[in-house]
Amino acid sequence: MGKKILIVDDSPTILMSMRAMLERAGHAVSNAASGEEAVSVLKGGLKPDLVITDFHMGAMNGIDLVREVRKMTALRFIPVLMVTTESQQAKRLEAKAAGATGWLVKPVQPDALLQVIKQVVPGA
Amino acid sequence: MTAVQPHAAKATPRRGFLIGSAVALLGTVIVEVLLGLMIGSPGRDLVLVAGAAVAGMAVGSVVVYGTLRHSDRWLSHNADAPGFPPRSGRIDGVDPPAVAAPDSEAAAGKPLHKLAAKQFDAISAKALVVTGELGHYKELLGILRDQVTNVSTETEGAALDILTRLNEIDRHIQDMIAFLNHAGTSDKMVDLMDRTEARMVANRRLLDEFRESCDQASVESKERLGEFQSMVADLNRVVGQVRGISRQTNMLSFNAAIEATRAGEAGKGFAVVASEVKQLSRGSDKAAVDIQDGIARLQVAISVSLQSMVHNRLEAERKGFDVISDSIAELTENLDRFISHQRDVMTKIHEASEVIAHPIMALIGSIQFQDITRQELQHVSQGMEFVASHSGQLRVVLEDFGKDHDLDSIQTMIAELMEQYVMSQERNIHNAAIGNGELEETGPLVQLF
Repeated sequence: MGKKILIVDDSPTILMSMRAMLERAGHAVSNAASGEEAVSVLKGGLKPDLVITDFHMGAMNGIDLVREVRKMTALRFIPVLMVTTESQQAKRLEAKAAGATGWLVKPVQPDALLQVIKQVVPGA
Repeated sequence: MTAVQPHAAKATPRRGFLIGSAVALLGTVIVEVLLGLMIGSPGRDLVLVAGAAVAGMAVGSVVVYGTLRHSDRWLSHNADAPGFPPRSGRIDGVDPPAVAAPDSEAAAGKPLHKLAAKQFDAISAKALVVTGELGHYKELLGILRDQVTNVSTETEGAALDILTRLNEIDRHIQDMIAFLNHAGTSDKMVDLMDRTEARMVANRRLLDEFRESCDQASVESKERLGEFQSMVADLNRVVGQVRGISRQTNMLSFNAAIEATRAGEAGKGFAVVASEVKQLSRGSDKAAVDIQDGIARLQVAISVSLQSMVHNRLEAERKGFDVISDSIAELTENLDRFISHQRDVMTKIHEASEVIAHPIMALIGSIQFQDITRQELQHVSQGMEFVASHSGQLRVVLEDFGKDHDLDSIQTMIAELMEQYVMSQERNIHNAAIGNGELEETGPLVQLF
């Protein structure tokens, strides 16, 4: 069943690639090019079933975004996946501590991504 | 930052030159290490060109810098010494050192301070050239950085273009799959099949009705033939009665003739009548025989004709029905075969479309490499920034070498470059370039917390 998914990444290539993969699987996709834009969209009323965010994105990184999402009452428990080129274990632990749900290393293949979504989003 | 300060070491200019050369070599090695860190990344051609230029310039600049630094220290230490020779050349107020002349010059009997001043002038001139060249590093590295940025931008544009086209292809394939899925079970198709099947059934029923009708006609024809034969039999019976009457009439005329003869003269007239009756009786009998023969011939002719007509008609109808029946059977069979073939084709296209769609989606995922490359190129640009910054600092030191300067350490820059990386691959290339063979372990590609 299609879910509402917000993708956050400063790379147009990643946004387009992920959107194609997710829409093909029947999900409704919104996107934001920065952490700040994502926060704005979420505060504007968007209630996604899942947020997929990059780690390195200028002023507000992915971990900052996770913290912001966890502050929002309505979105406190939605899954947030980090999709990044970052490979340091310390950063993974930091993301986990901030409340991220999972960690995927780019490039992400559609099968792997959709499998993870099924695991973290009920009814997906 | 490394503070560059004059000190009171009692180094001779020759020692200073040697130390300067050593520093230069070290600087060159460090710069090459820094560049070596970057050549593992995309944009290596640009970096190699920059590396060659920077390394060559760095060697020359640091040699001069080292020499002047130690000459400066030596002069500072000996300027007030008694018997210090007069100065013949000055650079930025620094007196030339009294360099120990080479053995050949000493043998020629030239004053040592003149030889030192000459050497100092030459070094100063080269220092000015190197300083000027160092000033262009920022420009050169700016060009290279812009080129790297352009590569990143163009790659991104190409990746987006590829993604757009792949999306388009994928959409067409999905449309085709949807069409095939729909066509296999669509109302239109089902309706067509139903109507074809109904038409076939109707044709078969019509054919059966025709066959039944023909059979009925055949039965009727046989019945009529029987009726006709019955009528003929009746006629023959009537003819038989007529012939019986003729025979009795003939006997009657014969008896009448006998009685007429017995009556003599009185019976002569009656004898004539009896004779006429006899003639009529014979004529009647002959006519009855002729009628009987005619009826017999007519019966044969009609029977033969009727039987032939019925037989031929039945035969023709049977052949016609066979042809129609065979045609309908073949038509039905061909239609079944066509529908089956059509279904096979649709299934095959459906399977092929699914097979094609999967790698296309995988390609769409693989295009993400562009973002990885973009980040790697950003780090290469960052390395160029470091080199540009350091060359600027070297230039300042050369321009004003009489003062203290804060010079960034190349080692610090290398460490900072390491901090910029986000990928294990980058860190591993970096470590390998500086002789650290330790490989960073890559964590799982997918990890749920």
